[in-house]
Amino acid sequence: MKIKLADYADTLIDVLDEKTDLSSVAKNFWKIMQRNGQIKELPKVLELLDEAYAKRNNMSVAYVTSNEALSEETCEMIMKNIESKSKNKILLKEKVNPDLLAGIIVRFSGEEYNFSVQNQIFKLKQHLV
Amino acid sequence: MEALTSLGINGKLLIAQIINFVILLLLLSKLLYKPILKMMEDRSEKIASGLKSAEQSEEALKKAEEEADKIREKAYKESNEILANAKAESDKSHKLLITKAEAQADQIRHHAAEEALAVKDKALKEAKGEISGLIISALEKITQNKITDKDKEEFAKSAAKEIL
Repeated sequence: MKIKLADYADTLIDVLDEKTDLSSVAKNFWKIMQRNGQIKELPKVLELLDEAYAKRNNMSVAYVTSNEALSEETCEMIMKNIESKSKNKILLKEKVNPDLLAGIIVRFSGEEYNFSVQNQIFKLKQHLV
Repeated sequence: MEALTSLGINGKLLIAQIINFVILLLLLSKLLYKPILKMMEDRSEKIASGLKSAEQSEEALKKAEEEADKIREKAYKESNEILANAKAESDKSHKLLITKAEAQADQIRHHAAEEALAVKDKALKEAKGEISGLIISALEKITQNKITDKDKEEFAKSAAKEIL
């Protein structure tokens, strides 16, 4: 039986609390997804989980992608600036993509801000060609 | 009578001759003089008529000559007009041909210029593409090898400021 990805995320939020045994929940969750042939959708479910968590806590999810893991200081700075711009509490999720070379890509409230060196080189290439 | 006889003239003969003469005169007058006179009158009338005809002919000839002159003049004028028209028409055709040829030449020139420009643009674009490709690959290599972790952190901080 196919289950909606958002339902997976909501169920996970429901069962996760401080008292829950995380490893047994994760194990069962993995089994169910595998049985339903939806294991490939796991990254998407985790993204939806973040969003569901943020929604329940009156927050918005923002994704920041960088070439390497960012320092706490930089993450804090990014979060503050996003909160200031969106006037909302932010749950910052980090991703790493070595192709960016340097810089970051920020995505929140359905918009994307690409400050990566890769993008700047691409723009330069477009301009030259 | 005796006197006539003494003169050797026969009176009877004389009278007979006089009568003969009168008869002859009357006959001549009747048969010869009047026809001759009539013939002469006819002849003079004919001559007069001939003269009149000649005069009329001369007048007609004169008129005909005048008419011919007029016709000749008119024909001359018309032929001149026709020639002038033909010349104008020929000039017009000539000008039209020249205009057409000039337009064709312009078109060919324009086409050639456009082609030359396209070839130049293509070459320029290709050269630009190659140069920019070299620049980009050099830039990518430099970025990959020369950017330190510190630089990356600085890049991220500077980007974070741009969010605002």
